[in-house]
Amino acid sequence: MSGRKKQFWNDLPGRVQLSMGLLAVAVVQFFRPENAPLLLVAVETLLYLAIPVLLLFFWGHRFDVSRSSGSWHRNVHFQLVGLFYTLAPLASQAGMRSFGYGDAYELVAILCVLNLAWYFTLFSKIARSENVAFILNSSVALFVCFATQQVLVYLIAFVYALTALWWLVENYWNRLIPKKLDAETRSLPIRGFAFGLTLILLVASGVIAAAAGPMSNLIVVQGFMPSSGGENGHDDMFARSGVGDGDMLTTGENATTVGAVDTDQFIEDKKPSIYDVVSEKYDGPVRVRKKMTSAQSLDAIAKHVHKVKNAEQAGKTFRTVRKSRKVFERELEDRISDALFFVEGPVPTRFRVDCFHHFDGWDWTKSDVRPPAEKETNIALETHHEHTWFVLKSSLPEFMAGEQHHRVKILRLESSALPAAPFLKAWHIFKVDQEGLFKWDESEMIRFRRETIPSQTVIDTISQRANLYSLRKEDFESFHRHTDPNLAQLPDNPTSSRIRELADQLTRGISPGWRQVEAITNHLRLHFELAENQVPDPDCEDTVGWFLEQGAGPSYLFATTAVQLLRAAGYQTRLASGFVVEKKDYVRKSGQSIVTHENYHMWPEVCFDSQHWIPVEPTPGYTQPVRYGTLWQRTESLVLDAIRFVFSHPLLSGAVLFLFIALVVLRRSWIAFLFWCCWLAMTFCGPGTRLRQTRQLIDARLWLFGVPRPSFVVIRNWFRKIDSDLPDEFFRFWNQRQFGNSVQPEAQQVERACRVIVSRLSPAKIREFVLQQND
Amino acid sequence: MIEMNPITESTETSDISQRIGPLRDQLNRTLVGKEDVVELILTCLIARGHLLFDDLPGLGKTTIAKALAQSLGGRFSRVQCTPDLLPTDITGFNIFDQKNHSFEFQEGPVFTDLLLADEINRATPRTQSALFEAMAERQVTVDNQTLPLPPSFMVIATQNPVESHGAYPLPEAQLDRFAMKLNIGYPQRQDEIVMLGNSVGFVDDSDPLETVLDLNELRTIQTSVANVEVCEAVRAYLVDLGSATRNHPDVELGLSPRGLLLWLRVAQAWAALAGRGFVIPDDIQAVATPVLGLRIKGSQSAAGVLISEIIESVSVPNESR
Repeated sequence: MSGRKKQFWNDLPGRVQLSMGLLAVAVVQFFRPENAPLLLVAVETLLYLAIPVLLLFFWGHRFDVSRSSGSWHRNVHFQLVGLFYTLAPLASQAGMRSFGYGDAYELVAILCVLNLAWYFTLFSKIARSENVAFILNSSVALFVCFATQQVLVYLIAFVYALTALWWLVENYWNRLIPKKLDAETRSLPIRGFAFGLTLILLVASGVIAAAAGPMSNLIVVQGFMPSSGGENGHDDMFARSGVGDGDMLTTGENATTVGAVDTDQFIEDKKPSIYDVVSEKYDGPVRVRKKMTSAQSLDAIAKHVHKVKNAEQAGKTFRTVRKSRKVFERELEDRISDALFFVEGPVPTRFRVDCFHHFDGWDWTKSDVRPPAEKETNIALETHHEHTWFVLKSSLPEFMAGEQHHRVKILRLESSALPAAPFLKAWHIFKVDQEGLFKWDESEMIRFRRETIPSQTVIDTISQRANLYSLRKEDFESFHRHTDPNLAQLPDNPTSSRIRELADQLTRGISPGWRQVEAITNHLRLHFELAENQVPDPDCEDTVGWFLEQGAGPSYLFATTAVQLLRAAGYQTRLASGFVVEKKDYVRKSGQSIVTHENYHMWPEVCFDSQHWIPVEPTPGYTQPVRYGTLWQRTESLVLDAIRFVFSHPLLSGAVLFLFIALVVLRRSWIAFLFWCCWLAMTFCGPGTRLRQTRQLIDARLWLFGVPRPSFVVIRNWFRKIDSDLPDEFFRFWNQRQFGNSVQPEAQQVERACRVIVSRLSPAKIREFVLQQND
Repeated sequence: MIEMNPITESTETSDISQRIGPLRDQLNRTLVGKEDVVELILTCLIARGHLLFDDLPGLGKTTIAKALAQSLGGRFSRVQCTPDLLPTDITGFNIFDQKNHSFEFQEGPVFTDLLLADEINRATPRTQSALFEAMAERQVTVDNQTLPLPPSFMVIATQNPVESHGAYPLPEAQLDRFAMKLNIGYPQRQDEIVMLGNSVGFVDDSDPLETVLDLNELRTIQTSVANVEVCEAVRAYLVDLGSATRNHPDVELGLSPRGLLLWLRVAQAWAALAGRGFVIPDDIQAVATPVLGLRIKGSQSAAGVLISEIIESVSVPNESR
């Protein structure tokens, strides 16, 4: 057994102490997997268990564990490492939460304490650590017992209690012995007595536990878990359920809950719920509306006039000449009362609810740009984890980068359009699995087949994120342009030519694609001013022209102008309207964003592949919808890009992988080769430098192959361990140069000696020596 | 740093090795198979140090000491240390000359070129202390009269580590005056066969060995050794090692400055014997065990282990300039 192993076994704590530590870990970890998958918990637990064990193995001698009182260096190192290890669950929780897993805050705190307890358990040979470990382990076990309802956890905690009792008896029996021995000379069988006592206690407790039945009601303290709701608390997304349910769950002021539909408040509401619609209690069975199609024989202008007229009658126009809007700050309570819907999930984001295609210089109108039947077939139902999801079946473009989840709770939206983030992929409503409940409309919006989505409906959505990096790199030359004349239409007015000139000017010299789109939107963002109250006169015939002249205006004129410019540059563009949710709308207390009328906004959307509409933001002050995102999102994008590249270039990737593996496997050889090349290239140096370089080269080779020269060993002794027949010339020159004051050797002699030693102590020779040593 | 003519110095040092060659051969013939011990004896000799043999009886301690004295052609005295030995038995004493009516100093065995103090740890501490002045300052003071010792004065003492009954361990002050402590050890099998072969037939022990190195020449060599160059990096390395002995938790008594000076001189001698005009870290390490062996006193660990730990705790200077 090597010295390190021997020391490790010596440093390990006693069996009882180790058992206590492991049982405390088991108590917490069996209590834990409510929100996290078992495998993840197991992996994390093993990792945390292993870290102090490895520390003890590799650094036990540094900590000098066997000495109860150590130097201040030891104590500082011990405490610093312990601090980092204790706080490690905070970091791992942050990582897990980004994957959608995690624990309640109080449990994270317990995990930290548990880590500290395990750390002290492993290093219990250090003074007082054993007692501290006992106290911490017991505290953790006790806390969990008060907070759980799981019988298995009670059982483990019970075994822990017995082990703790054993430990106490073993450690403190000696203090009791003299009192006994004063009276009687016969020694007591301590171990047998302790074992018998614990056995009796075990059986007795088991009987009591079985007789008492479910103990949870007796033990669990209401409101003991602070992050699980409660009167004043907030509902963390990973809060544990079942203890101290908060008011938030019942008032429905939270995007997560669907419980409100069963409350008295909702039952008294006259409006239908999503379940009334699905169960057809409210208004009969859902029917697919018949499409109204009619033959048109008018010329283009008459056709447009007719369309605008129809749209106006149907309320499907957006006029760019409007009254100025009053903007004022509202209190949080007002925002809740005005809330259209709540959003839980990453912000900033935007929810499109409508879009327009045709602009006549005055009004925006919709037009049929796709055959709806084609889209209708693309909504499919899929079941994941016993939940039914509506999934959009469409191919994913190259520029997508990961998914994002949102949960939307409809309050006063009063719209049939599904509020969804761009690049919607799937959505889910609890217990709703009826096919044909949603449809594509003529403007490529997903709509509920009723007038409005009922209030209190909670919708989970999964959407894709566009990767700005990929978008910029994308080669859009191959995409169709002007596939739909409606999406390239410009109004027939003098401003259009000006728009074309400006678009040409802005995109000149920039390669076609996203860079040109960015150039146009950035121009508006940088050179125009957002002024919601500065609106064109009611008799203004050309609102875009007015906006270009004024250099300022409301957000919808930014969007309108951007659409015109983008169309003039040759990109299929439409005007989208909806709600932009910014970071300022996020309410930390409830962990959600409140969306009101003030979030209403308009923006252009560009389509490159006749399938996916990419939002762009020309209005200053609004967050760009396509961006690099957080560090995690950027990393994710890069990883996805790399994966795509690998699959699209299998041969090249295979070659790179092979090269990489070869580099890793032969790392010593090629690094040694690089060192040798450097050494070879430095022949012009003087004798002293040359000697030093040679020494460094040999030392580097020895280090690479795992036999580094200890700092206290002179080079001659160490080098001759590898090759005992090494000529003395190099060492003589070396010593003469480094320590002597006599005649210095000639450069040629030095070079010859250096070459000899470099060739004699070759990587192959060193490797052979290492292999011999290992044998 | 001492300025030297490099060419002359180099010639001188290589000359030392040559000039000491016959002596080396003669001693190697006397003590078969112990070339390393002979090399250290020669090192101690040309470093003007005193030597302590710490070994079992019958391993050739006295033989090698006598051989050395005879080879040098100088005066040789031997003192068999016993508990009843008096200091004056070593230093000498004044006796009254009735003819001249005056005190006349009768020189003790210390007035010699090479003094063999056999079984030195059997003498009482009082008698052992009589050698303090002689070893450190190469002079003797008797009745307020200070008398110089020969310049080539050298003490070779022996002690038996096994028998502790009736023995007086040497005090640290006495030990510190020795340059090095050597263990001869048992010879190898092959060497013992050669040794037995040499003893077959009539051998006249009274026949002195041939003188192969004149005392004057030895003095010249000793002077040359003192001039062997020691660069600053090596000196710093030596000081670091000295500090390491003082700071080591298991060392009760670290190296004294006198010990450090002796270590340096011994390293110089080692370098000179290797034909070098300068000291390198190899020299320091090569003589570390015999030099530190009698100076390092550990609380728990053996001296050999402590010396290894001390050497390993200090990095050798690789880039002195």
